[in-house]
Amino acid sequence: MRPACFFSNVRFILLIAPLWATTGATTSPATAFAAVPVGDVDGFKQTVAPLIKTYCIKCHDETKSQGQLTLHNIDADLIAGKQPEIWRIIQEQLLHGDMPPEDEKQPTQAERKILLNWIRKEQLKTQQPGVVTEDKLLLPQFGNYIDHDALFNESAGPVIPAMPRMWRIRPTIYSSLVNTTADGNFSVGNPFSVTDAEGFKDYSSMYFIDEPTTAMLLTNAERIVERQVKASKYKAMRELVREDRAPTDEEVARAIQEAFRLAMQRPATEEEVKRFAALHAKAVKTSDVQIGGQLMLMAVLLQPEAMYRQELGEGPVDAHGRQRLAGREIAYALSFALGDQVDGNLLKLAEAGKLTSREQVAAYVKDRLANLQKNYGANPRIMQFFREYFGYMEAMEVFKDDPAKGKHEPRLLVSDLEMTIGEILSADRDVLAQLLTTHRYFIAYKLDSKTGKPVGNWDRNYPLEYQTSFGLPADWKWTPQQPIEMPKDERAGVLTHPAWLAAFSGNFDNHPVQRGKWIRTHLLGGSVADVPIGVDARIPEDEHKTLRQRLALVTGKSECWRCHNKMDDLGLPFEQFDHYGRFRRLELNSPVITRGEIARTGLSSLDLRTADPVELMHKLAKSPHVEQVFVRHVFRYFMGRNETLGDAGTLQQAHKAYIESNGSFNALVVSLLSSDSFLYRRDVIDGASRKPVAKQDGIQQGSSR
Amino acid sequence: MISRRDLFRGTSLGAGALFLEPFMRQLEAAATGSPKPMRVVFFVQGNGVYPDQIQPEGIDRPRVCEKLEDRPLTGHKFARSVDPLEPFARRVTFLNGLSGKVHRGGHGGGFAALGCWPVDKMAYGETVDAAIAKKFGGLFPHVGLGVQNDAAAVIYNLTSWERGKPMPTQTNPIMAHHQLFSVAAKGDARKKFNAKTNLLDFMAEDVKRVQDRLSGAERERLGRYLEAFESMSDRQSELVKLADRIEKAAPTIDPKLADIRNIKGEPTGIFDRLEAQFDIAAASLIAGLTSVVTISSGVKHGGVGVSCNGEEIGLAKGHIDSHGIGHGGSMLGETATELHIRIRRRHMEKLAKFVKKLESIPEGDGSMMDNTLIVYLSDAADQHHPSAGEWPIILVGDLGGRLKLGNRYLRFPWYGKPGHRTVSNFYTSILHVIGDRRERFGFADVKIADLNQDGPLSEIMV
Repeated sequence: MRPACFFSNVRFILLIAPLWATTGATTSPATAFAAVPVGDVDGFKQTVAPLIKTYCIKCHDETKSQGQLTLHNIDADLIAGKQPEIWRIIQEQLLHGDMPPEDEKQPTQAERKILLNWIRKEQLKTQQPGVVTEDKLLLPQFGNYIDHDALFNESAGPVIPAMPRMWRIRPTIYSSLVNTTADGNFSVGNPFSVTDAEGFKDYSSMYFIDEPTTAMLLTNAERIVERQVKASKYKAMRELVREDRAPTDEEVARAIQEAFRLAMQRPATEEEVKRFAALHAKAVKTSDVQIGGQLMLMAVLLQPEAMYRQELGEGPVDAHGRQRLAGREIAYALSFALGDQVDGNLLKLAEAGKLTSREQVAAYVKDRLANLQKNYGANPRIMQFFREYFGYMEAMEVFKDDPAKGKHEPRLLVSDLEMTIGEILSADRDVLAQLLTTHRYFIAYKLDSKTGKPVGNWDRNYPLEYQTSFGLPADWKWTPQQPIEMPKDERAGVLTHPAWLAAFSGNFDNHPVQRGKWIRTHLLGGSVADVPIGVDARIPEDEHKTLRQRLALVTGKSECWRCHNKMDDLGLPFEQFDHYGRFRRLELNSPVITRGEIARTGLSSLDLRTADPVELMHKLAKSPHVEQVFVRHVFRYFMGRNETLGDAGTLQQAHKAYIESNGSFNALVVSLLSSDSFLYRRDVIDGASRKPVAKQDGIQQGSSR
Repeated sequence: MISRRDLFRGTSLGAGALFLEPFMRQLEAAATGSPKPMRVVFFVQGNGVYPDQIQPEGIDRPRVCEKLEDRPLTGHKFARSVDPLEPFARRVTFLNGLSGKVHRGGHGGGFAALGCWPVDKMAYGETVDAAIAKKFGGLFPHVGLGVQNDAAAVIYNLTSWERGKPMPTQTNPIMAHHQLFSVAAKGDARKKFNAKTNLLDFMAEDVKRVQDRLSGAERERLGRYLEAFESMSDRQSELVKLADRIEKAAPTIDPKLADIRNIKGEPTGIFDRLEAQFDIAAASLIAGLTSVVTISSGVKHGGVGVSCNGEEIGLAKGHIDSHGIGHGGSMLGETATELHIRIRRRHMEKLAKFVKKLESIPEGDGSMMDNTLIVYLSDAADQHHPSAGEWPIILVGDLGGRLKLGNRYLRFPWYGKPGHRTVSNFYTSILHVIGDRRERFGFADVKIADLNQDGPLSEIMV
């Protein structure tokens, strides 16, 4: 029991012995993560509560509750408690000096540090692998909650990976599986869907297979099996449902093997044959040879191993409580990270025991991503990352009338943006910086699929004056000599491309707040709370005021500015484009005000007042912090989950790989897909045991190495 | 938070024991004639219910209404767009003037229409049909059927059980039929039904084996797949017990209706599908499989009602685009208003058939319709781009006399005026009479925070 001590002094700080020391040295992760963390309620009572009482309660007690915030009975347990969001708000307000207000009594620097250190220490506990305080924190929009400093700027121990999981397959994987098992293109309703929300769409925590989905899977399985038993190439399955007599045990076994090879890309184990044969016998008894046989074949298609991406791990448990994924699991994980079908070569490698080490995995990915421009078709997940990260596809959902002189063609804009992205990926150098600053845009451009030569990308007639979206004159003639160099002082990267701008706009106006929020979260690694439930977040109409002015009317209020100070000044610079993405100098006959500010990053080297969006983008492009935030997002996309503190090693290595390769996206992906975070899972039986897992029936083990 | 597992697998009684209990009481009640059965049907049509288009003839509709208007419908002909309901006027109530501005939507309201929260929150909580379904229980506590132009069979954009748990709307009538009535089939279909239990039990075991290798949230998530098979298996057994009832009630559905094509300029078949869905809804109510059905038309995410072919609404062949008419565009020589009217009328025709069907089934001293309440509205309130200052609702039935409805025209004072009420108050009314006495359903509208938004509509309470 520590003596109560209300005075801040160096000695006192050293007396606190948190799980995560504030100096940056970490305890060994293996022991650190062995115990389930517990909230430091005693520490709160002794050190934090008195400070809150002195400096905060005056305005935030139950009667006053300024800003609708009461602190008098705040929940001190960040792990089991229900108020993590409030602690984040407190942390931010303290960090940026927003609270207490200027005219109120201020805590000393040391006192501020005590508070911040305690909060951070408690938060770090909640960010360990396996600690889930709230389900919603598993969603993509909460990834930034994990402490950036702890991930990148503190020495990382061995990676402590995620729990074993079964990751529901994406709709596109399901379609691919259906075509494979139904022997050819077979259109069935897709029972799976992905979220409509912006951001990453395929997180394992977001999806489960419920009853209505299962009902659809059953119906589809029925239809697929109907095709299978009629197909000439599936002899064994055809014989299973023969009309003249019941199949023999051997014939049943052969049918099971054929079905497994088709759906699971592997033979059935002896145990599996026994189980499925028993099902067959039962089903035939309750119905008949044809129906029973088909029902058994349906079961093969519905197995969890087919409907989920299996990442359970196998083999010996290492000193850190981790198990590597089985060879087969790695084969599937890599295949589905990059595309929608399993790569037969990977399965062969797995079978031959050549897909176990980090080096082997890295070699495969490197080879596969080489010549990416030629291989986009085989690696659709690469471009998909940029779609989900930047969010520019939304441009196609925003309805706009055509501008007075010009043509708004969102599909074409998106396609042209992807040409720019493709060019950058092909050069594969300084990829992020290029994406944020390039002024080389393509206009209605594509490469002919047969000749590979550049051709115009339009259906019948060139969409009249489409190029005016890019600031080119109405009489501009299309040329294959592309990309076109846009004025350097007007355009810089994806965020000044008409496709992105249109995606973050409405029918008639820009969406500066949305844009600012995107920059805050996707480049600066910050977070913004949801719009409070009672608030109608709309910018008032006023034909005599610019958007900047109208926005200030509503977000300037103190209760709004607390969150809007993180967004508005990042998004308003882009007012130098109209909502079609066209450059403009005037708005309502006045010069557009393009100033903005990078603030509240906690990094004095990054904070900056900017004159225009080009300066803003160039500043962001040069920042290692922004690079690191980018790396975090790439991690999330390919892992299908948020990072935890256990992934610090992976992230640091990945960033290193990116830097050392001069900004190669390929190198970054290779590093991530061969990382311990990707290849290992924690060993769990009832969440605790570390005994090696015995071989499980029905789950094919790769070579045991 | 109660997991669905807890909800559906209470005791050894099996299939949703928690649900079977109230349901069994209903069956008993129906047999003995005491506490009368109750059923509620929601019919949600996309693209707005334009109040001017449904106004009964001879009743003035000033833009702003200062005082409550409450009068019988007797002597007032129904407007053309809803006149298929006129034969049932004694059961019909026009509920006008309720606002629903909390939904704040651009086009369709999605979950907000039945949930009373902002539309962008998606499946933010429990929609009113889910709340009622939880109270009533049943083998299928809630049945969601719908129609839309494209072939995505199951959509999730209207009903939600609780936060993050949207409920399906099945838009393929053949699949809906399959899911509800296959126990009553004959020959091979029945053999399939029987063997299906073997398959479901096998799958449950199969999933369990994998589940044993997971823990925590991962285990829970895979558990949903397991529950799906277990629930379906339990339900199979229960359905067998009801096979005779189901056989008598199950409708015949043209298999061609499953072939949903969306080719501009060609017949869409959408009204045929709507009729089939109403048939299925009626049958599921008659067979006692459920007591809450939500039928919808064109309410998928981003949906704005259904498009159709001119031929399907009594005009020449040609594509009628729901979004286009929503923006006031004329097509095939008709104004947008006329097209709205015709499309709505076709919807009402199907609803009228449904009402007639329920009237034909005796129950207690009267018919099934006597113990039913149908709630008709749009997810887009009063128009394509809803203002939601008023959200027109048409009711058919009075839930066994538990509500003061029928032959009635109600119009509440305009938004913000004393006496103004909201859609949320209406939903609260239904919940109160079925025994869920919460103070308020959904979220309050902060813009009219000075008005008391709690409680039911006293005007319709008995």
